[in-house]
Amino acid sequence: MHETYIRIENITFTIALLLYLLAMVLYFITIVAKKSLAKPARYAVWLGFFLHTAAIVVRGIGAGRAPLSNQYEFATAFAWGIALFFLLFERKYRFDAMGAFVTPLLFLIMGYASMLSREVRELMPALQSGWLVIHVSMAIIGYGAFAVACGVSLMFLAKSYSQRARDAGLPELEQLDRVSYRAVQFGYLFLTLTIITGAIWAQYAWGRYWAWDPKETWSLVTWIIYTIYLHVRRKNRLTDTGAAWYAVIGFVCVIFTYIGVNTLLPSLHSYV
Amino acid sequence: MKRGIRAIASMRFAIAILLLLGIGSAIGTLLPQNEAAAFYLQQYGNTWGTIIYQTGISHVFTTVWFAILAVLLCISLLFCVIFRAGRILQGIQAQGFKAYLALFGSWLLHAGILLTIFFFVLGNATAFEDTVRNVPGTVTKVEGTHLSVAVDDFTMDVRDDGTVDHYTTAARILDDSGVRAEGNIQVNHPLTVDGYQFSQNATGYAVTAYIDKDDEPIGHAPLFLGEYVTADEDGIVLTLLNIYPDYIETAEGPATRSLEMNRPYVLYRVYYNGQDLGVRLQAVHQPVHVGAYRFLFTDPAMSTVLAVRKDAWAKWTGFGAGLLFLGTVLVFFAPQNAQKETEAEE
Repeated sequence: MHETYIRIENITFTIALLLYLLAMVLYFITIVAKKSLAKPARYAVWLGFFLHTAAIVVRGIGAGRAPLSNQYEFATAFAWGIALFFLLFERKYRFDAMGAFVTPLLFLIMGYASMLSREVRELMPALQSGWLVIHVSMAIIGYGAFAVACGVSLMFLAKSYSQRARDAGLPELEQLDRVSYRAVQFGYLFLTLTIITGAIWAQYAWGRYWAWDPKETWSLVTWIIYTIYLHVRRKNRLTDTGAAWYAVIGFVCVIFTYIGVNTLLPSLHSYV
Repeated sequence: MKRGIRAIASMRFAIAILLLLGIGSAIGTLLPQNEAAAFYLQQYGNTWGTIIYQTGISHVFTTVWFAILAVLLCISLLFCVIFRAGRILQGIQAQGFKAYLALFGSWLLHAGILLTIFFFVLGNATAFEDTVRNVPGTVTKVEGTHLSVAVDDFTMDVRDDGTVDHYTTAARILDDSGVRAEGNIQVNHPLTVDGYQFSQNATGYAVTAYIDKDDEPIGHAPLFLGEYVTADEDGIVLTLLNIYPDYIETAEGPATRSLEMNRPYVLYRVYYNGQDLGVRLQAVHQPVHVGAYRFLFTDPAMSTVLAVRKDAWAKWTGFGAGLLFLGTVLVFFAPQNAQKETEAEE
């Protein structure tokens, strides 16, 4: 990749990371000190998202392909998906405290991306397929939605268990439950699509659409956890914290599917 | 009986089974799978090794208990789908299809999961699966089918940085009537004939091993990486461990300077009358004497490995997955009126 592209990508990525950090701090101050800094925090996320998008686009142009094929590229795209869903949900449901619970996840993934090698490598034969963009895009959107659901479910749990959280002016449990449920719906739909498109791609690439590879299996485990969430929520809606716990466990599975499988388990997906 | 069926069809039962399947699947990824019993005994000690092997945790996805869980989930889903169908039909007749779209989506989602699991299991139980190894210029019969594979060429395109761009096998798929398909097989670009999909799977090396005894030829055979040839009722056995196309001796041991066959050496293991004579390194075309035997390696070449698979039910699994997806869209994004009423009734 040309030096100029690398420089632009590095600058935009770093500023985006700092803006997400700033937003996280401002959102914390908003709920802890009850000072209304949500507006600048929101602007920081919007600006960060804009620069983050630019970093991804520049990398794509410089590499001459969709930047979705290694740990760094997926991590930054994953964070982008979280930012996208956060902004969409925040705009629709309008409660400031969401930022305090979602931006830490965003910053965490972005921080993880910043520690990975940004070297641009050519694609290995298995990744030279149009299915790469479709499959990974579905995963990014799904994972982004699950991150928002996790953040909102953490708010639900905080409000359920802690008097201090109740005093912090968090939204009503009913609203939190509704937002989390909506986010899981989106995530579930796109996770289903991720698994289906991955299976179609595997059929072309390896002649077998399902081989119980660790990445496939953990995607299925994640899908099972969210399936349970949807059923538990339907039965016990607001009466207990079960559904919220499943939304959090589901996101832990998402993180493990993405990072844990690659680093701890031998997999055909070791490059992602 | 009625109570039993109702229990199996209940959401609680389905969730319990799902949870067990999830836990089983997760364990299946955390422990090495499908190894020999000795491996688990060595890795985890006698007690744990035996438990792991005996309970099937060493091969989760093919154990009886995993299959039973999948069957129970299917039965639960089947009852769920049957029971709901009548209720939804009645509702649609009374209030129209639109009001019941979300509930129909939920029904479709469950039916889709059922069909996906059913056809996945059926497909795997009846699928044909094999791998075919070839060096260019050879024809190999795919055992158990009416097809053969002729490999005309195999190339590995390597970029300047040493990474592989493409593996390409120029192949013809043949049967008694002649050539059925012809073309380049690459990863993501398989060749399919009569439902048999030929996919680029791996690559390796091969040589031809010539064996003489008392100066009389007693056989020759292609020898692929990791495989062995034997002659004279196991009087001599040769296993191919590696080939160094452009051999060079380094401090770390044998290595290759390039992938070109400039100075090919063969790393092999030899057994003579049941005795392991160890690992040896030998240049090609140079004879080796072991007792009354003399052997020679020739024609070193890259080999291609094609995976051959036919799953007659794969399309039906795809159909089930399609229903599952469509159901997911409807249940989440269609109007929820009837669904809320039904949930309230439940």
